[in-house]
Amino acid sequence: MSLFFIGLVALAALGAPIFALLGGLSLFLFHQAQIESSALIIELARLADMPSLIAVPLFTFAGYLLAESNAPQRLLDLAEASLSWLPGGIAVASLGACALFTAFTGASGVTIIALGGIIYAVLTRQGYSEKFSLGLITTTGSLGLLFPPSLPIILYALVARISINKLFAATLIPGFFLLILLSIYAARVSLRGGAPTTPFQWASFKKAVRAAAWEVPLPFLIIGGIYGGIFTASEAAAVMAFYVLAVEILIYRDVKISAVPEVMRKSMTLVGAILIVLGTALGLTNYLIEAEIPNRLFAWLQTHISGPHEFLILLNVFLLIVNMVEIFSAIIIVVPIIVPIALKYGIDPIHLGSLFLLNLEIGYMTPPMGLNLFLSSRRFEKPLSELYRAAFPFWLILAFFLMLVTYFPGLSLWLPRVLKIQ
Amino acid sequence: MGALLKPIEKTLFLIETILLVVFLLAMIFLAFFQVLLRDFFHSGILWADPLLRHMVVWLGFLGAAFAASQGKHFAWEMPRPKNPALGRLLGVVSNLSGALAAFFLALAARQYALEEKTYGHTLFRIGDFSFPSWASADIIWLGFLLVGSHFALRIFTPLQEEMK
Repeated sequence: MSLFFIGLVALAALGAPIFALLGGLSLFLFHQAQIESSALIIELARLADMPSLIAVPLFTFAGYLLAESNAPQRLLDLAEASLSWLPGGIAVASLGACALFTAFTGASGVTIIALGGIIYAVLTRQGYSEKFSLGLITTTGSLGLLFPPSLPIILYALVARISINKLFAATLIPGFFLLILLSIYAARVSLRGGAPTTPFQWASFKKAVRAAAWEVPLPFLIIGGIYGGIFTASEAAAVMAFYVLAVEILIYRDVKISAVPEVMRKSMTLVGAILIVLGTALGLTNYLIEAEIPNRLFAWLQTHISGPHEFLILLNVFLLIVNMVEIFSAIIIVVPIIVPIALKYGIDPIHLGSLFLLNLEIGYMTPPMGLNLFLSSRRFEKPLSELYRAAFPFWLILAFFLMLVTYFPGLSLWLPRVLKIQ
Repeated sequence: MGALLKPIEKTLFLIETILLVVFLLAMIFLAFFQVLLRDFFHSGILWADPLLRHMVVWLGFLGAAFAASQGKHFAWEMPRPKNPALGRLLGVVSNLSGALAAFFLALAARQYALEEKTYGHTLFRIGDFSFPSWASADIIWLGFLLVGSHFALRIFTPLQEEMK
């Protein structure tokens, strides 16, 4: 048995796919417990019983199509025209545009690729230092993760078996607070460095609104529809996929029809990679729960950690390490184990979701393995060590905010309660 | 060996792309139409929801096949070794483990499909046509077989990006 585990760890280190490790481990454990291997597939087939799962391919495709169009440029132009009169306005506009774009593109790392270059040029032209600009872009790559309809929120809710709409509401207030905190930091840097502001100009604002006229309603339609109780998450995904397809191909004509299959293939490649891990993990987590692993883990933890506060500290450290590696797999593998343990410590599952997702957001930019750091390094051809330094002040703000979200559950639980979302 | 296998890979790529485009477009239009029917006419197509739920799984396997052919499955990303031979060896280990796992999972899924043929039921009906649960189960083992084949092909052929 231990030889098998050593082999698996060695294969993982050599770069074996995560689904292969999970599938191999599940088949081995089922065989050891003398359970038919088909039981593993019964669990996998349950994917087709999840009504909200359709939101994953539809939102992902719509996000990839938006990224392929000129929507990122139009969005940034609009944010710039609206906010450049503020101290740090350009930086705040960049933060806002990226947050929205990340939320709509599923936090799959495309923000840095699609918007990074444009934002870097705008920020450095405005007199921001290279270090600040790189740090901001590296942070914004995952900034929208707490806003609907971000893919990690949907995936977390599916795996933890909680309401997607409730989790959308829970992460909204922390998302906005974080955006405000980062905006204050950007304004402070701007005031100290003397980055110029430009007076608000109606003409350029109107021009930017007109240019993005078909994309401006999208967040209102999707987010408003979900919070207003008009759509479920999967219905919102269907509306968004249809709307984006029609707008970008028939109205803006940014993406040629001949390019659509390539966008579909790219987006479904991500979806396929997620679903196969999710499918193989379902059998494994079912086995782990049957074997009472979370209960045993809780019993062991309780001898060392008595209260929820200590547990949350430990959880945050653990999640930062795990989420640095690969976020979608982290959600699928870790969530089913920690949810029952956290429940026993009296932590609300919605609150847990909110802090888990914020951890993901920080994990993206945590050295040495955070994905955003690699993407920025590749995009701007800068050594990783330079990006670690550039992103550090932003990382500190996010870590401070994580403490607030961890120890003030009301930040996450207030909105779902007020909106009475079930 | 690689040159012999390339036409197979290209043909698979074409068939999978056609299937993917058809499925995804059908899914977008059907799901949107269902929202319109539900929200504006308080009705809906009875078979649309179960069909859409199963299509997500089918699309997932097609996507996973592409991910296998492009080396895009989630894995612990190691820094690329400078020695090309070592890099190639790591690629073989990764693809071989992907192929083996997918084939064993295909075997398990085949067993599941046989059980469904004996005890299965109807998943949904479209008019007189009924879609049996074993057909959906068959797609699962075929899906794993497809994913495994791509991993196996990748052992002998270079990455598709490199081919382009």
